[in-house]
Amino acid sequence: MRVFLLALGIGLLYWLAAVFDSGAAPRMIIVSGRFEALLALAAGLSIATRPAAGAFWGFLAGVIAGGMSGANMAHYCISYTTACFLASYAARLPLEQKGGIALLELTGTILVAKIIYMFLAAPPNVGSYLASASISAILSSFIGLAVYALARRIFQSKEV
Amino acid sequence: MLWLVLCVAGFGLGRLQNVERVENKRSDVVSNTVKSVILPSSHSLGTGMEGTGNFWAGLTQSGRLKEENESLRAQLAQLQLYQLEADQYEAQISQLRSLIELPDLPGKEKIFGQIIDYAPHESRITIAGGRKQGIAPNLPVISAQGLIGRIDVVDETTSQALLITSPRLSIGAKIPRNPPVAGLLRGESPESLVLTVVENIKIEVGDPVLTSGYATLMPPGIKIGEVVEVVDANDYGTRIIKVYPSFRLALNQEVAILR
Repeated sequence: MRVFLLALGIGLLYWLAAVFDSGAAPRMIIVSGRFEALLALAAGLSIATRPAAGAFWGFLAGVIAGGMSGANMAHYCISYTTACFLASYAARLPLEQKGGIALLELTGTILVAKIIYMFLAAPPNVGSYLASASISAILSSFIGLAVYALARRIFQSKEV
Repeated sequence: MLWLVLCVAGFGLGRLQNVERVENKRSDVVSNTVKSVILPSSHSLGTGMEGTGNFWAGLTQSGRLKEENESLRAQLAQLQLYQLEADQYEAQISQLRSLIELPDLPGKEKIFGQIIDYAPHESRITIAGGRKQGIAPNLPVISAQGLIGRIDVVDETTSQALLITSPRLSIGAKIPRNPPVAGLLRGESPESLVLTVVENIKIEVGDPVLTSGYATLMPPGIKIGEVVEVVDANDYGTRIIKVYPSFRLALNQEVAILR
């Protein structure tokens, strides 16, 4: 029953993140960066769980992002899965997972996902893509931090 | 190991999406499911945010909005008179073309829709309107400012269009000089298009760029943008013309699909 409720809750979070990304985020551009709620959610869940689970959270976010955009689903899946998988491993380093460290990990995860995506689907202007990706990573990491705090409470009390 | 399996699964889903999009001009099962779950709510959220913004703007700018509204009503009345005359000329042209057994010109029927989603990295927009409304692949999409793109994928109630700024799209374009300069226009970046021509006719910055009408489904004379730079590529015997697109994109924006 607990697992079912957990799955339902995470499904709802993914739905909310996708709705926010599609309906609200395009209206909240800050210095060419935007909030990436789906990727932030996957990153937040990844650093609170095992690498296998991290890869799955990234894969799920990639499928939704690729489905919404109507193209490049393979690129989204591979970049998000890889970045979240690596983030899960990085979170296992012997570093105290306090707010600042977690924020850095989240920013790094989101940035790595966008850089991998850049190599798979090259943008016309790499410089401006990297600049907006960096700003997006910083903005979105705060969403990821909230998700990480919640996920840590749920998952690390009973290792998933 | 699971990471590798998921990457392979993602690659497979991407292949399925590509095949359905390129060969069948429709969304795959996964994309369709995702869109049907997300789009209705995201569209409502966007409309709600816009409504709230408009409410506060209305409170602070009511005087200016009232003046603008009156001016727009006057312009609309003039345009309606002009439209009446234009419709009569169009009917005469259609009649004359059918008398000499020429096919009707494309783009006479307009199907109106709204932009409900935008994928900037893929240069794609999702429009509320699909097969049910009579939309078909490769139809041009226009706004009040000019050409926006071309329909790429059509589902039952939504469709996706590729923007003219996408490097994957080429459109026949012309600069209305005497004689007109025609070439193929393709997207380069979100704010730049490139037109390649061979004629050595004087072209100036600020010249309008329009659709050439040489393609079956793309009517002639739709504004695409303006010339911002002319570069002579003497080694290849061509001229590269940089064009700034005239369309401005916004969610919930009304667009028309020409049939």
